[in-house]
Amino acid sequence: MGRCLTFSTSGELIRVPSEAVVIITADGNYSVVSLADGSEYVVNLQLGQIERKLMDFVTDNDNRFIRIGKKLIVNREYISYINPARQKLIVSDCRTFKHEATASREALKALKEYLEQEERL
Amino acid sequence: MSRRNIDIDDNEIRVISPDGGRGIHARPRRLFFIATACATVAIVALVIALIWSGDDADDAESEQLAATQVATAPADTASVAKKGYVEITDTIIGGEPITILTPRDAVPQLHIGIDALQSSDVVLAMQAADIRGDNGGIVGAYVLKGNLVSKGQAKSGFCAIIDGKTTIGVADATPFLERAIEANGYFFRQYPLVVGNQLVENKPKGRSLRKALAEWNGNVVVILSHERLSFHDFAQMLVDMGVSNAIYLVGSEAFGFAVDANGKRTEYGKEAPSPSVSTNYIIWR
Repeated sequence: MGRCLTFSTSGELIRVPSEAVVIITADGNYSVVSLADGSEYVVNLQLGQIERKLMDFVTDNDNRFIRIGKKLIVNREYISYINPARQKLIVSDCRTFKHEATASREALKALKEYLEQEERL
Repeated sequence: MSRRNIDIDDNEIRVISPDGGRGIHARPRRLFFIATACATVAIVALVIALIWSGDDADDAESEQLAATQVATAPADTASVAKKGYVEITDTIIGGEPITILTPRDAVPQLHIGIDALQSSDVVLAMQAADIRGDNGGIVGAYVLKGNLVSKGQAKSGFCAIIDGKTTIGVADATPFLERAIEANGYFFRQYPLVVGNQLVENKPKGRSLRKALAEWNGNVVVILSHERLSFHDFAQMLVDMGVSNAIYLVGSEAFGFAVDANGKRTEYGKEAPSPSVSTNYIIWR
C-alpha cells in the first residue's frame, strides 16, 4: 500500500491510500472524496485546499492527479471515457465501480488532448 | 499546507505537481481562426461600402434597424420562461402558528446531496427521507430518477413523484413504487400523518418542530410548525385545517429554504456542519 492521504477535521479522521482516490468533486465549501471501493467521504475542505494538500503530497514524477476546472480532481489511472461534446467523463476500474462526472467541453477537450499526447510519448 | 496560487478556470486542466503545475487549455481550432479572419475581412468590407454609399443609404438603414428592433422586442419578452417561486403564508391554526409553503410554476423531484442547496433554479428544498443512525443510509424505499437506491419499508407513509405529479399516501406495499421505477420517477417513505382527512397515529411521542408534505386545497404544500409539537397534535392541526393527505418531512433543525416571488430566500432550520452523504431533499425547480 502506498502513502496515505489524511483528511482531518474536528470530528473525524479520514486516511486513505492515494492510489485508492478516484475522483474528488467540489460541493460548495465541502468536497466529496470517492474511493476505489465505491465509498465516498464528505470532507469540510474546499477543492482548492485539497489541491494544495495534494501538491504537498505528490512527488516530482507523480502526475496522476489532474485538476479539471473548478469542480473536479481526478486520478488519471481511473479515467476510462472522455466525451467533450457531451461534457461527459467516466472514471472506473472497469470491474467494480463507475462514476460519471461532467466538466466543460474545453476542459475535457484539453484533458483528452493531454492524455493522447502522453500516450504518444 | 502550501499557499501557492491555485486559481483555475472552468475551461482549464492542471496536472497537480509539487511546483503547482501549469494550466493546460485545449488547442485552438484552426478552422475557427480561418472563419474568424474571413468574418473580420467581410465586416471591414461592409463598413467601407456603407461609408461610400452616402447619407440616403444611412437613413434607410437606420429606419430598417429601428423597425427590426421594435419587431423583435415582444418576441424576446414572450420567450422568457416563467420562473418558479413559493407563496409563503404565515398563519395560526387551532392556536398553533405555522408556515405554509406553496410552490408555484415549479416541478418537484428528489435529490441526494447538499449541492441542491446551491442551485439557483431551486425555489423550495426540504429534507425528505430520514437517515439511518447505524450506517448512514436512507430509511425505507427510495427511488431517484427511476433508480431504487434504498430498499425497505420502515414507515408506511409514502410520496411518489411520477411525471411531475405528486401522490401522497399510506400503504405497506404500493404500486406507486414500481411505477416510480418504471417511469424514471421518485419515491420516498416517511411517517404518515393524514390519510383521507383522517389522522394517523404514530408511535414516537416526543415534541419537536414538525414539517409535513401535504395535499391541501388541491395543492401540494409544505407545512412547518413554529412550536414543538407531538406527532398527534401536529397531525390533528393538519386535519383541522383541511389537509386531505400528509406525510412527515425531516423535522427539528433540518435545513431547508424557500424563494418567494421577489427572489427573497428564507431559510429554515440549520445547515449541518458535516452532513451525511445520504442527506436528501424534495426540491422544486
